[in-house]
Amino acid sequence: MVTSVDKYSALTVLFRSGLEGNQADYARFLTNITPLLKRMVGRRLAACDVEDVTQEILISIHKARHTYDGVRPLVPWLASIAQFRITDHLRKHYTQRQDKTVDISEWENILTDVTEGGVDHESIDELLEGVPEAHKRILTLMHVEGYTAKEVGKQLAMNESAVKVAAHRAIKKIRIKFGT
Amino acid sequence: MTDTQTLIERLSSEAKATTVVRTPAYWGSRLMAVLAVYGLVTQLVLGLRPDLAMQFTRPLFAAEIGLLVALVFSSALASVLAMYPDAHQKPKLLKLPYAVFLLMLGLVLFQLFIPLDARMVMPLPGAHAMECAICIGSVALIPSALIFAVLRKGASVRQFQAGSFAVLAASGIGCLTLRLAEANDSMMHLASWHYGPTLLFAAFGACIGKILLKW
Repeated sequence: MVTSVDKYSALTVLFRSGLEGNQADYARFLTNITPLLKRMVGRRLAACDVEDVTQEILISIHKARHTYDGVRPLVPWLASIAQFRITDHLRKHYTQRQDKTVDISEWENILTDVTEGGVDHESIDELLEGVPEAHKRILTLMHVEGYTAKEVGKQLAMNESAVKVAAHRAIKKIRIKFGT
Repeated sequence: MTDTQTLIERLSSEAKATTVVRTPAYWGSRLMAVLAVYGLVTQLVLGLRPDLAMQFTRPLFAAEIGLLVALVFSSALASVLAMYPDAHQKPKLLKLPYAVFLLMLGLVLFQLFIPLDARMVMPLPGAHAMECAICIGSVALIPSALIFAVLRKGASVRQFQAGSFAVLAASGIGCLTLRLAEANDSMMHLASWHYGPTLLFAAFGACIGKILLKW
């Protein structure tokens, strides 16, 4: 059974050999640490960024390899570089997001759609066209002026439940009219 | 073949036998030796205050000098450690300059509120001010450049910290030599024109560290 200690000491041996100029061992070292780095990056970043940031970390490890003496534990050294690149990526990401501006012309189409879409139901009178006058009055009092069914009943000398029924029928009629 | 595999092939084809950066003990001791020599030369140029021997009988003065020496060496050591991505796996030592700085701050604040010692030398009001900050800054230039040159040999992931420690160590030399040269014990003056500017220089060091220590 290969323990993590064995795995890391094997990595250290490969890296040390790479530092001495053995390209095959160095390639094997980089290949072996790639899944480890991907897991590390995947925990902090979105899946779409993992590949790019892993590659950045590999380049950084290559550039900073002269700072590892092959004696002290390898993983903290790798983790420091990975952490540094991940933080760097996040910093850039948030800075870019802050600086991102949207041209006003991009909004023109959306705004046009919004206003055009609203025209159909803009006028309450148009909406209530064809609804009997008594029902129209009830709907206006309840849904435009905000009176309760009881208050509307008092105003129109009607029973509260009669007001509710009238309002319900009026809304039904409007729904049928607009096919909703 | 994925992009990562292509990259690995490219990187490994570039891999040649690499000379590893020496240990922090090597760089630290070398740097401290150079700083000590530079400090002595600067002291020769600036001279010593006439009442220096008597001032050392004041425990607070001796403590101040001791803390300044500690600040210089701890900052130099911390900056050297910061040039390794993993701080040579001694991250606690990176906190040493902060601890010394806090003690220094405590000592300065304490002296601001205690009754004046008869042996303290108070300058005439408005005698000089900015000159001290300029002197400290000028003294710090060469050691700052030297420490940055050493730090660039590594690959720091703490560029702000490394930069500020480098300039703090260099400015500390300026502070120390000036404190030993200038017959002026006004804590208000020292806080405003010696230690305050040193802090500002360190903050400036943090900003240039981000640029100069990029790799």
